[in-house]
Amino acid sequence: MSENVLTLNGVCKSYSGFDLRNVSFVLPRGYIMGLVGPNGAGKTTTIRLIMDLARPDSGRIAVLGQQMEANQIELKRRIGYVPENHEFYSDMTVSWTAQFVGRQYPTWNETRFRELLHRYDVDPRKKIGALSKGTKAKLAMALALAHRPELLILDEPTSGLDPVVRRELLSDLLEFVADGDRSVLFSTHITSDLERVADYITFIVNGQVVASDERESMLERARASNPTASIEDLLWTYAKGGR
Amino acid sequence: MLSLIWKDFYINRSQLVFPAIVLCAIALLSAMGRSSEASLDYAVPLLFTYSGMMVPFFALNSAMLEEKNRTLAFLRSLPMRADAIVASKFVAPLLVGALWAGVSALAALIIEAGTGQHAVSIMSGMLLVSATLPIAAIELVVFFRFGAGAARTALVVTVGTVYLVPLLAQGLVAKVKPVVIAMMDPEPIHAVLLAGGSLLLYFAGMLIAQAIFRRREM
Repeated sequence: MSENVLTLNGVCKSYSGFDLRNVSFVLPRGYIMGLVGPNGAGKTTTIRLIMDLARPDSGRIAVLGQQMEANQIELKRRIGYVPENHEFYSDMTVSWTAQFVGRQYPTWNETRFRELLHRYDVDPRKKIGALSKGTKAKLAMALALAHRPELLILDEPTSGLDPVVRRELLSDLLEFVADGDRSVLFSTHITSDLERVADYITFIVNGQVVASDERESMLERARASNPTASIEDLLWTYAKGGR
Repeated sequence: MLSLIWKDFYINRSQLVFPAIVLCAIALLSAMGRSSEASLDYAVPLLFTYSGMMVPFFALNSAMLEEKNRTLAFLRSLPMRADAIVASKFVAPLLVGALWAGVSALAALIIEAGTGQHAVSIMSGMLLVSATLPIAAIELVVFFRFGAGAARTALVVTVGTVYLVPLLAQGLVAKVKPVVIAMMDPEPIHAVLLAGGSLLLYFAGMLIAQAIFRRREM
């Protein structure tokens, strides 16, 4: 088994008006990493590149020790992915959507899915179009967790959620990695979420990784000069071009 | 891929079911009236219209729903091949076309049984469905390259061209009449050749769309 579930090495991607430059970081197995940065910093692009929804111009990405492009189906079966925008068929019900998604995963566990729906208070008979943004996020999370993935990749999973559900979702992440064999990468700009659950933090600003390390080591270093330094302070410093 | 085909079929099922009910009901009514004139006036034009629309409109509706829900990215994030996503978009309308050919054959048989006259061939529906396969293929290739709005424009332009080119080439509207008559009672060999040629073009379109979608970023 690979020690790192995710390795990005010198990944570059150019769009008109935006460049992702030389992005490198690793996520060891069994840990939660927060990918944090201001809006438009390149968090979603990085996640799309990891999921092979976009192709890097250069650099290498290894997911669960393999190249995504060559082993898409096998790797995606081992990943739970929650995108920033929750895209489902609006005229279909939650149950139908789960049935469709479940068919793609040999490890799909319908009982677990029903449990998650119950915990998140999502009505399986409702049509997707009738769900609020928060409920869609909860459904996306339940779909991602129901096949017991090895790696969870979440793009802004807590944005738009009320504080109660947010806390519930974060505690689910901690429960998810509790066996030491599962890992989570989640992007966010809500730094309090990182304080609660992240073991590692990667700061991304203007398309570049400006720091990537264990949360506690980073805070320790920052607190040498400012004893009350927080993740938010670090993000602010990096966003303003400091080190 | 079966789940993708079933998904398309299930979401767009009304596109097949309602026309099938309407056509069979009108065929039954005209058969019960025992008037071949009524059959020709109502049921046969309806059979022709629906047969010409079935595959391209099913494909277009399916494409537009994917775009409206922004679900192509959702499908690409699931463990399935990009080629399978494209193939399902081609195979589902083809199956619908095959089912429609069956429905239209049934309607032709009802009319014939009711009126005792041979108003339209049981192969007419299949012939028209086959003739529209290349149109649907163009529309789907455009969808995977440029999106559903462009696919709709492609459909309008292609259908217009299909009507215009023979008219311009032959110079006379009257020349269309023998074509319509031939469609009402096609020679089996002509129907088979047309279906085979159209299928080839359709699958060639599918290969092009797959090559496009494989490279497309979400």
